[in-house]
Amino acid sequence: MIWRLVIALFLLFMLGPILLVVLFSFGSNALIGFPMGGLTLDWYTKLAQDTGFHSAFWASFIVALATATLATITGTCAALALTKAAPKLVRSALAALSLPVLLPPLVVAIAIVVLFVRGLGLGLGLPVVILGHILVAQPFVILIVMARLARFDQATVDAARDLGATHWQAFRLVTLPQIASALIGAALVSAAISLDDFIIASFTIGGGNTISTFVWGKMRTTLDPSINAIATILLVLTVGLSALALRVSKYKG
Amino acid sequence: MTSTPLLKLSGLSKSFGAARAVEPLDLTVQAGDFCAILGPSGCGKSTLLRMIAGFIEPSSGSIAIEGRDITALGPEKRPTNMVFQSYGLFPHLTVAENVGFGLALQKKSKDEVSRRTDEALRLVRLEAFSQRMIDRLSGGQQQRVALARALIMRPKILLLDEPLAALDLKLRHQMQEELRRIHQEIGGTFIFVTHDQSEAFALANLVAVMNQGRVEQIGSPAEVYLSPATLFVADFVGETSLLAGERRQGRVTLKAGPHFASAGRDGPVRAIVRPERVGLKSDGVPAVVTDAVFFGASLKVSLRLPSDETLILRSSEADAAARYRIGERLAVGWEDQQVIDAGPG
Repeated sequence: MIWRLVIALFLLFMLGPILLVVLFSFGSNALIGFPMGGLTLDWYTKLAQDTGFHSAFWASFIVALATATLATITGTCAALALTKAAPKLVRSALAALSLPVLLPPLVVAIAIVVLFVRGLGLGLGLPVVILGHILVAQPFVILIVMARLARFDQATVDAARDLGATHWQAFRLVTLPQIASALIGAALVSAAISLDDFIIASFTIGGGNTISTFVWGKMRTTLDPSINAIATILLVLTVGLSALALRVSKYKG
Repeated sequence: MTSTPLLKLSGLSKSFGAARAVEPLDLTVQAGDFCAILGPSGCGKSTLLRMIAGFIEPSSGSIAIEGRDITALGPEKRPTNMVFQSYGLFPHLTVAENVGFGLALQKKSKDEVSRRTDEALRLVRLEAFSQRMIDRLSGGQQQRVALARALIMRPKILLLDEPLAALDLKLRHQMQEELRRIHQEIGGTFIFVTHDQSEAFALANLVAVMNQGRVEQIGSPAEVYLSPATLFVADFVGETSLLAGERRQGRVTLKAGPHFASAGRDGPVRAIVRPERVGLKSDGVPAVVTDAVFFGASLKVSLRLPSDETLILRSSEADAAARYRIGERLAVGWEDQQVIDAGPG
C-alpha cells in the first residue's frame, strides 16, 4: 500500500510538469498559473502565424529527415560489416561506435565545432547540425539493425547467390526486404533523437533556429503559453515517432 | 560416348589458417550418380560440399564439371544448386515466389516462370501450397520447397547439405523415399552430405566416407559396409565390434581367445565382427550379457568377452529376449570376421 503511494508520488513528480505543459497549452490565460481560464487553441493559432516558428519548424524537419536517412544508411552499413567481423573486433568496434552516446552532449557539441568548423573550415549551419545528429543517432541505428541481423538467416543470402543472384541482387531482393522494418524503426528513432536535441543544435547552427533553439530563445525574452504549445508539439512528435518505431521494428525488449 | 565424368575433384583441399579442414582429395562422380559424403560432424564434409557449390574457395586443387574448370566461378555462375541444411527459404516471399526466384532472376517470361514453378511444386507434391507464406509450412513442407527451388534450375548437380537432419524420424523416412523417387524421375545427379550411415546406404549408389578432413574410402554402399578400407570406416559404418589381436606368420590370435588363418603382415590387427554374424556356439568364447535392447524387429545384445572387450550381437529370433538376459553367461562365436592391420598402439 505504502509502495503504491510512493510510486504514485514518483509518477506525479516525473510526469506532473509535462502534464501541466500540455494542459496550459490549451489554457486561455496569458500567465502560466492557476486558475487557467477557458480552453482555447489560441496559442497554436499564434504559432501557426509566427514566421520565426515556421522557419524553425522547417529547419528541424530538414535536419530530422536528413539525419534519419543518412544515419540509417551509415549505421546499416556498419552493422552489416560488423556481422561479418570477428567477435573480438565487434566488441571493440561497438564500444568505439557507441561512444558518442555515452559522452556528455556538451563535449560532443564542442568536439564537432572544433573539428568541422575550426578544423575543416565548414561554416556553422544546418549541414554541421546534421553531421552532429548523425554522430549521436548512428549508434542507435547500429544496435537496432544488429539486433535484427542477429536473428537473420544467412542461408537465405547464400540461397539467393546459389540461384544466380549477384551480391547486390541478393542484398536488394533478400536481405533488404527482411530487415526493412528494422531500418524504418531505426530511421524513426534517429528522427526523434534529432528533434529532441538542443545542445548540439545550439552550438552548431550559427544563424537561424531549430524548434528547440527557438524555444530557448523565446524563453529568454517572453514567457507566454505558446512555448507550452511548442513543447506539446515536440512531445507528440518524439513520443509518436518512438512509439511508431517500436511498432514497426517489432522491437521486443 | 566420351568418358568425361560429370564432376571431377582433383587435389581439392581447404585450410582455415593453420587448420586443415579438408585434406587434398580426389573424387569422381558420374552423371546419374546419387553420391553420399558420409562422416561424423566436423569431418569437413560440409566444407567439401560448399566448395563444390562455390561458397568456399579451395586452398588448392580444382573442380571440373563436364571437363570445364569452374574452380574460379562464384556460386551464381555454377551449374549446381543447393538444398541448405536450414533450407534458407525466403520468409518474405510465398512458396511460388521462393521456387520461381532463380528463374525470375534469369528474366524468363512470366508464363515460363509460373509454368515451371507449377511443375516443380507438382514434383514435390506441394501444388496446393503455392500461395502460402513460408512460416505457415511444416518442417517437411519447407524441405520440399527448398528442394523444388533448387530443382527448378535444372542443375547439373544437386547438392544437399544434411537435407533430412531437421526432420523427425518418420518424416525422414518419407523424405528419403521422396528423394529416391525424384532422383529416378528426373534422372539427375545428387550429392548429399550426411552423418547418418543408414541414410547414406538407403539413398546413395556411391558413398565417400570422410574423417578428419580425409576421404577414407569411396565405394558402393556394399563395398563400404562389407569391406571397410580402414578401422575408422569399419567403426563408423554399422554397429561393428572391433576386437584386438596379433598376427604371426599368417595366423591371427585375438585377445579374446579365438585364432584363425589370415594372410598379411605380422603385427597388431583388429578383427571386425558384424553383429548379425554373431550367435551362440557351444565351443565358442565365454561371454556375459551386459545389456539387451529391444528394437522391434531385432534384439541388440552387448556381450563382455574375457578380454574385457565388448561384442555386439543382433538377433531376430523370437525367443531372443528370453535367451539373452542381462547377467547371463554364454558361449558365442561368429563367422566371417574381417581383419585390418592396426599399426602399433
